[in-house]
Amino acid sequence: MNPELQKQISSLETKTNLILTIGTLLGLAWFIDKHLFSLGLESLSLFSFAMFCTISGSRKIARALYSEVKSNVWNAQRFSQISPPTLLIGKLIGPALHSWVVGSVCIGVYLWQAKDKSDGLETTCIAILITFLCHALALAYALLQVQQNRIRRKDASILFYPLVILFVLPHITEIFLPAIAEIKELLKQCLWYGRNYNTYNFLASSLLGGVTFAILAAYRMLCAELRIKHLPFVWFFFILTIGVFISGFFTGTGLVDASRNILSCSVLVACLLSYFTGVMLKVPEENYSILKKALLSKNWREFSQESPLWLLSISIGTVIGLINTVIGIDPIFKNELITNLGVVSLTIAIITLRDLIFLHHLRLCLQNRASEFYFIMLLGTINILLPSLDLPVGGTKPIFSDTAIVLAVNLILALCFFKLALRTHQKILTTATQQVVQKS
Amino acid sequence: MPPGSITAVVGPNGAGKSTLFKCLIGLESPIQGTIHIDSTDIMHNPRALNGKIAYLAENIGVYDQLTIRQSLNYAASLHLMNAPDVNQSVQELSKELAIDDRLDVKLSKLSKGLRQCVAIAQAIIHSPSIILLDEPSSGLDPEARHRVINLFKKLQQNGATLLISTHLLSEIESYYSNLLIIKDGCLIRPEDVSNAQTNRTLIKLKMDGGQASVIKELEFNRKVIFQERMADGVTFYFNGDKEQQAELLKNLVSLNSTISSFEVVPEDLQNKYLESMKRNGSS
Repeated sequence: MNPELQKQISSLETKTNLILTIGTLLGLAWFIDKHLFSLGLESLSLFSFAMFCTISGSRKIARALYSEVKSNVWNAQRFSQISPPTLLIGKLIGPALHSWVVGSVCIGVYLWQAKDKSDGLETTCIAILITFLCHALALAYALLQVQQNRIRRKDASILFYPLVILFVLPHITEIFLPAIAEIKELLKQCLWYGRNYNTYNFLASSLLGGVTFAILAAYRMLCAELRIKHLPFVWFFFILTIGVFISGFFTGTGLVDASRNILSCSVLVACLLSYFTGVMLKVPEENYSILKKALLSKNWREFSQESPLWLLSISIGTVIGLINTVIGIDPIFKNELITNLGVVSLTIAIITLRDLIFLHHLRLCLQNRASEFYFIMLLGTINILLPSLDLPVGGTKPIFSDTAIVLAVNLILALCFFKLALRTHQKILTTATQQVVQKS
Repeated sequence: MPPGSITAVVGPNGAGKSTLFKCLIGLESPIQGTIHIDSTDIMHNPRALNGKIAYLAENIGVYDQLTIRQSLNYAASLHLMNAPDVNQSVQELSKELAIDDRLDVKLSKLSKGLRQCVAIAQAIIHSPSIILLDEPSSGLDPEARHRVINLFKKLQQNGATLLISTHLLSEIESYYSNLLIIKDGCLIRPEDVSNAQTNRTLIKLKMDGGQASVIKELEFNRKVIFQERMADGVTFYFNGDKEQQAELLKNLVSLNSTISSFEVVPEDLQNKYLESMKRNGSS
């Protein structure tokens, strides 16, 4: 038996609690069915499933990991020979085992009460998929929290995130937000790549894709905790899959159109994810030392394995943007749609790179609050103030009107910030080395 | 670090002992430098030696809900051990640490010392060849401490290399083979504190008169390193055997001085440690 699962089962509280919960639930179901028909046992049992299995199970999975970290047993697992899939199954199913047993009773009552058995089965499948998705996301989130808490840098202030979203708006969200409204409308018709799909099938397939990526995310987080290095294929496919998913709503059956749209969407997804991970996630200083070493020795494998997610996302975005530029230089040059961005997608990628290199340079050389302040100042100046003076730096309008100039200007800015970041990092290393030498 | 040795790592709180251990097993990355164990670069291949190394953290981690047997079985399964080997190891280790009569008791019901014993057993259940123990004796009663020391000696005899971080210098004195003193993340003169048999002795000299000539003679002697000068005498290290000590005393007596006492001070680990810290500016 899976040792992790065995341990989780052994650590569970007495079975009495479980038997009592199931008995109470069944008794309640019988009572409502006999005496309180108007309450609707069908929806009540589905609600109970969501409460006991989906929400409570996710909470238990995350809390089990936090308690292992808190009681100092997590390092023993990190420092063991157990394989990540074994650990993943144990962590995903073990703590939520009680929730699944109680949840299956709720689902049993729901199916017994369902008026249309076929509809009931469909709803059950969707509910189970949503539960798996929540459980996998809870585990991935808990693992991320554990990793982030280990890094000594302080968290950013709450005000920082809305301010970043506000100042990133001009060149990404102004393209994305109208598209989201459009997707909402198209989702109702289930029109995807020019074809009409059955709503249930479409939702179930999308959820299945979501569950797969959530489990893969948890798996990769677990690998990172166990110090197993991988090439970032999952992240690459994740970006591409979201690109494929979104562009499906704007594309017909044409293959050329579809591939160009997928590339455009993927660049925007990569940029958004890059901003998200770059701003939200802390990266330890030593990570940059390893990256620099890998870059200097041209060890691209190690470079991609050690890259933080923001750098990985923007690298993928820039490469796809380059491909998009080569195949996309045509009349769609000034098209302000989410798809068919052509060279504009590359410009957006370079702007994102510029911003995030600057942010990480600031984080290397300044305290938290000061780095946030200067970053917001830069975003505000470059993306809002300068474009209003018709200067080709950031913002949606300049990108679409003077793409070539904006691209060149931002490329130079990105390179300057990169040079600055390298110099700051070297300074930190030199100071650290000097301190050690002096002490020695 | 030679194979089959017991190296004690000592130093003040916050010196970096636990961080060093975490770096050695790849749970933390140093900003600069590399770590090689058995020719394996730990930073590039951190899991390569997981089966060979054991690590006991300073703040022990055990599962309160599990029994001792379940805990040890789980620790063994983490290292992919076979069931017959697991049973044998559980029996042997529990007997060695005198917890064999409580194998089916939950850890939440055990005292701190017994939990520490379980943690030690968990860490070494897979018979590792390199063992890193961070404060292994904390919370143990004298009897348990004695059992643990015997276990460490037995592991060393079986060829294991042990690295033990501790504040209990009197305890490790009986079995350590090397000593590393760490302060502010730096190693302090390891050559001064090796437990290898040397000719260096600490001598306390007391005089009633003629001090100046004695001090002058000692200053000229290359085998003498001053440790402390007092109003009525001097304490110094002498690098030489007993015959050379006798020769030195003879010379000093011949210098018109009144030597009231010439005492060889037994130097313990505590003294070595304090002296090293003193030389390196400890308060």
